[in-house]
Amino acid sequence: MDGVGDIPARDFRALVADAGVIIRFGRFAFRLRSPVEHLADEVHRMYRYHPVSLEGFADFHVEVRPPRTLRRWFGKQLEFHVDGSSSFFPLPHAQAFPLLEWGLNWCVHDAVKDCLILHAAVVEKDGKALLIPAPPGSGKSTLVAGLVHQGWRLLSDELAPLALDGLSVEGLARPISLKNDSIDLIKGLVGEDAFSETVRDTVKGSVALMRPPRESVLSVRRPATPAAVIFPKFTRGARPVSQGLGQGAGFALLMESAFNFSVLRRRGFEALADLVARCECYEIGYGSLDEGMQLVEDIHAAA
Amino acid sequence: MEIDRADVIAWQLHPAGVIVRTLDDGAAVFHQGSGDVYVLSRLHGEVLEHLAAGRGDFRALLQFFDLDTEPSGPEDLRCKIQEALYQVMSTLESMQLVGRVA
Repeated sequence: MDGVGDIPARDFRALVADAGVIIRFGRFAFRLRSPVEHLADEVHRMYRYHPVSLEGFADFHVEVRPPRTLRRWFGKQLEFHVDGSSSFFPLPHAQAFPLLEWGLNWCVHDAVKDCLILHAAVVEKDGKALLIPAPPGSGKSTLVAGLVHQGWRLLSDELAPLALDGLSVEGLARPISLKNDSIDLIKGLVGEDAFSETVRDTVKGSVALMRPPRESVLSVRRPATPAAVIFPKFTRGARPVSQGLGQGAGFALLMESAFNFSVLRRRGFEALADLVARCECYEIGYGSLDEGMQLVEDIHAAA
Repeated sequence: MEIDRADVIAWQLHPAGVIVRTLDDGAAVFHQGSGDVYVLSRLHGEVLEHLAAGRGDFRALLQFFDLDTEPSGPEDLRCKIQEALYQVMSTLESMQLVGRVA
């Protein structure tokens, strides 16, 4: 199966506008159709290494297109449709790619019934994966982008499918979503080429996505074993601090990150309890990316 | 041990049952009826497990009780444990993890 980047950009744009393309990330595949050329171009760049096909099974049939109501005439809006229906508010045309990414997050969250979905990033090195759950604004994605640039394997920036025995995490290896000041910070490390256009004035501020490394995409089907859980908190100028958490405190914080607990019920409960039984949990605070990454390296070395 | 408080009160687990996972600093509890999850103290978890196992004598949990003052004798110890147990049961009752036996 070819990678998205093996198809010339112009051909890719035409395919997306016509019958669509099927792009695979981890165990999932989505068929993307859209008449929006700049969306096709962004997908072509950001999913460069992901396997693509024109036919076959797709878990989600996704379409990003103008509304068919009067809304299409106001502010050039776009809607995200999955399997023919849309549950999302339309967003401005310029936000097409973030709209696709947010919609795909919803698709994964809605589809997975055999894993506990945590709102967490996952990175792995030397066979030891670190789960990094955190609410928006905590610096999670910036930290992850920095670690990935240092050679860590990216499994996920946003959603961590945890096996119900709590022993492994699946990879998705989709683009990393960066916001506001962190965009220029990470661009300074990895260069402009790995980034989508910066979209301003979204509900999350300015947003740009960073392409996952080729190695992470190619090894995405290899699950990783969680070795530690880290709750990061970036505060500009703060001194670096790392503190171990008890299992109960870790469990309570992880509960806040669990998306499909109400579906899994007891199985989700057991998965989370198994996870905290085998992994140390930490809270880290830091005032710069370098300090944050060093704290993560220290925890990884001790795990 | 039944708990004396005006009247003798006996307690039972919610009929749907609870799952308790003991943690190093507490206990995670899953209410099998409502699906609610709680993170409670180790004592609360031990009491629930004790009830689930059908054991009646809570003196076995003595090590988990954090008594404010040294008991003056066996009767005082019994009263203090009963008082502490009542507090625990009231908390568990508010979460509908246990109920009073009619």
